[in-house]
This record gives sequence, structure tokens and C-alpha cells, in this order.
Amino acid sequence: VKPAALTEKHLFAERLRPLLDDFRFTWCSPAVRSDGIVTVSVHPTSSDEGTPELLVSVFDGLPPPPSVHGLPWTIRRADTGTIVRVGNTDRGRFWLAGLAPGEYRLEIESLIPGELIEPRATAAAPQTDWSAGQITPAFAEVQYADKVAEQEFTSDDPDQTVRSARITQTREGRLTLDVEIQSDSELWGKQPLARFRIWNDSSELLAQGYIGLYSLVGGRAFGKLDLDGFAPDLRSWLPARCYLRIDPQDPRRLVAQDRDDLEQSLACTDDPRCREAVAAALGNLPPSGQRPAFGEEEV
Amino acid sequence: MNDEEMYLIFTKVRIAFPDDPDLTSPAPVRGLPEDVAAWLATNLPPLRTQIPHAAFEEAAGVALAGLYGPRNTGLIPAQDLADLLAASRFTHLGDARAVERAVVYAARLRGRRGWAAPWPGAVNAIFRMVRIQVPAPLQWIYDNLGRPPASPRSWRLAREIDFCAAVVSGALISGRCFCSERCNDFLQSDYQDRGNDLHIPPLTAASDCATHSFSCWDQQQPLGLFIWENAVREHLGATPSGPQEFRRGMLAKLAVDGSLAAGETMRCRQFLGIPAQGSEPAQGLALTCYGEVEAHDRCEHGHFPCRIKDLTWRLWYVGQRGQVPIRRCSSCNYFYFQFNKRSCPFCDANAWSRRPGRAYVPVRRAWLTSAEISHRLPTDTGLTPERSAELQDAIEQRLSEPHRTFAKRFLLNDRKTDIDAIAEAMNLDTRARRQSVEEVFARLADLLPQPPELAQENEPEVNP
Repeated sequence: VKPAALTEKHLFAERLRPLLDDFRFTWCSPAVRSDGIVTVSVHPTSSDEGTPELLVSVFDGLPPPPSVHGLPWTIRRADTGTIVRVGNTDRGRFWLAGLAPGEYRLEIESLIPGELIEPRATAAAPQTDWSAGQITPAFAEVQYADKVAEQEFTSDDPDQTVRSARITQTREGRLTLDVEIQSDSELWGKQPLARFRIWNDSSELLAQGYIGLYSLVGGRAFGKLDLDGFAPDLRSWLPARCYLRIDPQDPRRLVAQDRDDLEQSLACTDDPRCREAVAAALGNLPPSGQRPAFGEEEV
Repeated sequence: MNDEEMYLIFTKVRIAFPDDPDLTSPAPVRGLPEDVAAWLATNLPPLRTQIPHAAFEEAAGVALAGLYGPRNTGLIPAQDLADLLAASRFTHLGDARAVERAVVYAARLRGRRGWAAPWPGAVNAIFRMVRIQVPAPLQWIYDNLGRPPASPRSWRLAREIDFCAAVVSGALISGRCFCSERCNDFLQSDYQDRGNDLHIPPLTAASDCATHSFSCWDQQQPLGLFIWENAVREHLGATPSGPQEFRRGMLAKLAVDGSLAAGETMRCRQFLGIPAQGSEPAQGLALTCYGEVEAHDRCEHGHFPCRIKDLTWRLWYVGQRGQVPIRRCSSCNYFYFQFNKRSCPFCDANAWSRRPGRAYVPVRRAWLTSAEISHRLPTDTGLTPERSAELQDAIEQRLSEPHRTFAKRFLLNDRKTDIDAIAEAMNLDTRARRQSVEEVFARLADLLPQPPELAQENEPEVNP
């Protein structure tokens, strides 16, 4: 049974995500998106010293509910996609200062839990539909739709450790993978890296990489990676059945053979908070060692 | 919206109708400041129809769209303009209510894209209207209550003002105000509970909260006044009743990270012959002490007895005060905390009212619980020398270790020590701490004030 708070959060996230689809604003100009219940607004204000600031607010009622607290946000240049600011919301609010004039794009992670799926079971049991952990073949073709396409996975262990593993096809047709973890659960053990693997029906490992996690409120962690950049062949695999699995990765257990995967993961990670975790693991790699074969390690 | 925006909107009308004497008064179009004229030329879209076929309302509507509408979406479509004008109902040049109606309408649009979506400028205009109202009460709270106890280092008043304005404006626009959830912190009653007794709908938290939406605006009242009445309601500090009204508004439940609480306190009425010296709110009261009375019936300046006939509302941060039962002396008509087995300290009669009321006192040594847990539980009544000796004897005779040490530290020693600090100093875990508290309560019950839950009471008898 899902806890009630999770259900409320789920409803909130369902509302928030369409509002943030390609949310653009211009420095020092107001912007707003609302569906009548959830509102995301940008208000020009000024600091104590009189310098211009922007107040970005996620509104879901007065007083602000817990669901708007601690959401990771990212500000990108609208033209280049370069990240210029990152942070977490504080009771649904944050301020921006010192940005250059121009147009920006606001991204706020809605941190939605998906369908209840146990990734571990997918490797053992034959799967008949995508809902059991299979990546949907719909991603095989690049879509430049107005609406983003996405698919989500969630573990159903008691702590719901993998709160959400989400593959998203952006408006630009890029596939991204983001994960939200209950990092302080016994299963995860506060590991700063999430290892993702994609394999096919024949248990062939097609791709393996790492997502750097950063901490959120409530013992959770979040990370994001450009899946298209990491596995350019992913779309060609999808007509066959492919599965996704997320595991905790202890950086101390990484060995030199993991360097390539780590470096490639780092190259496909643009959020500085995620890069920090991957770069730290890369910097502490031991010179040599053996990694357990796929399927032998414990989840 | 501000005066400058009003000026721009109606200047647009005057530009559209330069020869119409009715529409060009009171200010002539010519002589506009150069920067304003340039702004008008670049920001306000042209009329869709040619003068003289365009109506005066259309000029105003186009001006509104130019000021508050979305950018880069072209001219406002005819149907959207018609809807806007139907909502605004312009009647004459300078019709400020019409502009406010249009702004509220545009801010409450529910579409996803373009002109059907909420207009950013309209939402921002309402944000600015709310923001004008917020600084004074927040500044008063900051001056009188200080920083919120649990605030992070980065807490700043200016940012709190912006944040409150954003949330209040969002609630007014969307109608999603749930401030009645915090009615307990502000002693607001629930509709069903009191309505059944009184057979009339009283002004309760739910009925107050239901009006916190622009859908309850009658579209005739000035919008700024409507916002004031719902968000703030009363000037804090101007009158002693300021907190009583303020607690019913939206801002009270939101301000300072949602850490405010309100309740009735006893304020000393000792005649001093000098202006009131008590803590807020003291304005408007002359020549009395007005210090806050603590649970031992002495005010913060030591006056006794304090001769209080009515209770006074005040604000504090959650956890700073606890409720203690009071009774009114039927002989002299004054309220006192120490009514148990005692005669009135003022008239020496032993004729207490049958039903107790409740008042708040500062939490210095909450018993049964720590200050952080709740401000609604009763607090200790403080100590006089006689009471201290009485308690000390009882502790020695009735309690064993470690409860004896716990009770001494808790009830007799450093008055600022709370349960958490004592338990930590004595290395008591949660269970041992609870046992000690229960033991102290059970063994010394006759010497400690009854918590309200245990008192035999019906309806509070306050403010008769």
C-alpha cells in the first residue's frame, strides 16, 4: 500500500510536469504557468541592495504543502541549454540573481513515483509486457512531439528505495534517464552513485553506467543523465525487449575497469551536482581490480 | 497595478481618440514624457480596427493586453479581447475598477498557451498589489517578536515579504487557501463545533478561509482593500485588538515560515501613571503597566495582584507559550491563575467562577512536555518562595531517585532549563524521561496546576 503522502505527491507531480514543459522566461520579466491548482510563477523583485532578482515560486496552496519543498531545479540558457543555476526549492520558492539578460528555461524535477515494478524480478522472470520493467519500444523512433514522452519504474520493496527511475524523451528528441532514490533506506545505504544497466532477453548487458546522486530533503537523492549520449545505439536495441535495472553503487568497490563507464557517464552528465559525485568516484578509482560479473552481486 | 500603469492604459485611449473631449480629459495626450511616449510606441499593440470604428473599450482592452498580456504571441485575438472587455466592463475613462476586474480576469484564465493562459503581467500586478500590503505587518512582527527561532541563517525579511506576497496572491487567484488548517494555532473555532451550539454561523476559521479568493470579490470594492481585508485585516500594533483580527487573515498563517501563533494573554492593569511599559501591543493604552502576567499571577514587572478584567490577544512563535486555566473571582471580577485552594489575591473572597477559562503564559518550564512539542499544553505556574519550599518538601518525601533529581532540576533549579536539557544532562533516554515526567506528575499532582484536559470544565468563560 502506498503511503498517503506519496499519493498526494503523485497527484501534485502529475500536475506540475505539464506546466514545466518548455517553461521559458526572460530575465527581469514575469512569467507564469497555471492549471488552476498548481501555479509556477516568476516575479521580478529586488534584493536589499536594490539589485534585480527573480522570485520563482511553485504554488500548491496556502500554507505551502510539503510536496513543494526540496524539489531540485535547474536554470538553463534557452539558446544553448547550458546550465547556469541549480538548487532545491525551499517551501516552493527560490531566488535568482546575477543572471545575464536573455531567455532562460526553468526545469523543476517533479520527483514522481511510477508504477510498482521490481527491477530484480525482471532479470529472472520472462516478461510479457513493458510494465514489468521493459523499456517501451515506443522510444525506438525519435519523436519531436510537443509533449514529452516518458516511462517510469519504481521498486516495490518496503522502503520503495527506487522511488522513480524515469526515461524521458524531451521535446528535442533526446532520451534522458533520471532516478529518485530513498537514499537512507537500508537497501541503498546512502550510496552516492546509482548504477544503471540495460540488457536484453538473452541477458546480454547492452549498456552500463553511473548516475551521480545529490541529496534532497527526507533522505532522498536525485540524479540525471543523458541516455542518448551515453548509449547512442539504444534506439536500435529497443525493437527487441530491453530491460532497465537500477542498483546502488559503493564507490569503494569500483575498480580500474570501471573507468571507461565512469568517464562516459561523466561526459553525459551536465548537472554540476551529479557530476560532483561521479567525478569524486572517478578520482578515487583504485589502480586495478576485478569487478563481479553481471548477475552475481547482491542488490 | 500602479498609477503609472493606469496612466499608460488610459493614455492609450486618449491616443486612440485625440479629438474626443470626453476621453481626453482630464490629462492631455500632448506633453507626455519622452520615455513614456517611447514605451507606449513599442509596448502597446495597435488597435485591430481603425478609428473611428474602434470603440473606446477596445482601446482600453488593447492597452491592457499590451501591458499585462503574454509576449511574443501576436495581437490579442478578437474573441479573447471580447471576453476581456465583457469581464472588465469599462464605463468611462479612468475606470480603475474596470482595470482591476480585467487584471483579475486575466490572472485567473485557465488555458495552457497564448492568450488563453494566465497573463504573466496580470499575475505579477496582483503580486505587486499584495506585496504592498505585506511589509508593514511583517516588519512589525520582526520588530516585536524578532527572528523566528527555527529560521536558517539565510532568513531575510525582504525575501520573506516577497515569498508571502507570492503565496497570498497565488491563493487569491486560484482560491486554494487552506489557512483554516492552522486554526488551532490561532484559537479559531471550527464551524461545526460552534455552529451546533449557537445555531448561527459564527465567523470561524473555515468561514474566514472560504472568502480568501478573488471569486468572493464583489468587483465593486477597490481590489487593494479586498486584498487587505483578506490577507492582513488589521494594523498590528495600532490597537490592542490588532493581533485578534490579524490572526484571522491569510498572512498570519503563512508569515515567518508559518511559525506564528496567537492567543489570549493576561496583561497587568496596575496603574502606574506613566505610559504602558509592557511588551507589544501597548499602543493606545495609557498609564498602566501592561506587562504580561505569568502563571504565578505576577506580571513581568513583578506587580501583584494584576487586576485583569479582560484578556488581550497577542502573537508569538509556536512553542513560546502554553495554556493555563484561569478563573474569574465572582466578587471582584478579576481573572487569576492561582485559584486552586486559594482565596482571591485581591479581595480575599473564595468565590471563583464555576467554569474556568484559559490564558497563555510564556513557556519557561513546561511540564509534561517540552516547549518544542506544542504550545497548547499547560505550563508550569512559576514559583513563589513559599511554593518553592512546599515543592521541595514534597519532592524529598514522595519521590525516589532518579525522579527526585529530575524533579528538583525541573521544578526548583534553573528556571530556564527545559525537559530536554535535564534529560540530556542526566543521560535519560526517551523512556526514562517519560517515566520521570509521569512520576513527577503523579506524585506531585496536588501541588501542580491541573492541565486543561484534566480540569472539570465546560465552556471557557472569558471576555464576558
